[in-house]
Amino acid sequence: MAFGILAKTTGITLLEAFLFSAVVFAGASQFIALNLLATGVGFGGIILTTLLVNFRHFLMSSYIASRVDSKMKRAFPIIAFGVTDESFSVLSFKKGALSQIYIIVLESIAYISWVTGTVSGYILGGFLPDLLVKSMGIALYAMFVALLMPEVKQSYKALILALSAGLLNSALLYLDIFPKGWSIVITIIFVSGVGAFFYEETGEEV
Amino acid sequence: MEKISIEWVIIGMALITYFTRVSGFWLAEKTGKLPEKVENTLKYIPGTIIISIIAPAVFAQGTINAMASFACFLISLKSDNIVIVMVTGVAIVALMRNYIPL
Repeated sequence: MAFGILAKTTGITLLEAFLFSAVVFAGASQFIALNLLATGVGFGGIILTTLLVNFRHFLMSSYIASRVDSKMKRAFPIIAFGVTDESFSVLSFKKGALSQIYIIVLESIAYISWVTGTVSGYILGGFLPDLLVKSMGIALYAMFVALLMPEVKQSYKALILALSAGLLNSALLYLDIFPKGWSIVITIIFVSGVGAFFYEETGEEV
Repeated sequence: MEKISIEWVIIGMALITYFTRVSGFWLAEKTGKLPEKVENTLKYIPGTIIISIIAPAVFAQGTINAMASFACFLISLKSDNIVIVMVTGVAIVALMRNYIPL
């Protein structure tokens, strides 16, 4: 919804907004691309930024690959298309083995809601009060927090690592050392690596 | 400056995004069973990714969003219902924007 609403305000057509969601299907980078288009950044700049912003999907899909049966190989090209922040959060916090049908159903629901949300957001955009439009952004973060909590309640180590990752990424972004998108990748690899190393030493079960 | 075609931007973004998603599966396929050390590292990825996405946004978007995020955090301690947490978050931001000029 939020993407459709925002897309309308930047002046792209309904068809273009629909295509963005239907073939790219990557929330954060779509918002960033709208910004870049609006500020006149060229093709190369947008593609490179997209690569950096979405590089985290590489980490997510390697994680998911480690959780599924290798018999699923033929479904990988389809499953891969649906790896998003949202589907990843849900999948990663589900206990036990992930079945192919579960992943595909989950990803399809996410996909259909994203695309229909974009179209209805674009159409509704003109009618919604400005105040509500501006308040939509928090919903995504609220969802992430809600997904993370059950995990954090069980393990303080996970909480500590997650919070240090948040601080490190914020610090890296603030200091502006790395190009946008890379700081999150560096943060994740560094903190997860430290976590794995540190807790292996103490021999604790994760 | 030459006006760039949005269609090409969409196609380019789609290809590059799909590449980032499928490459993780390729890697896992090539290497087969991952070493234990790598698997242990992967276990910590979900939490770290999520907080890494949220934290800068919370810091960057000002007091209202930071307070609303904290409220969502408190609510999620009490309730595992995602919809309740999301609706409350949006409601808090909308109300605060309306009544507190920041």
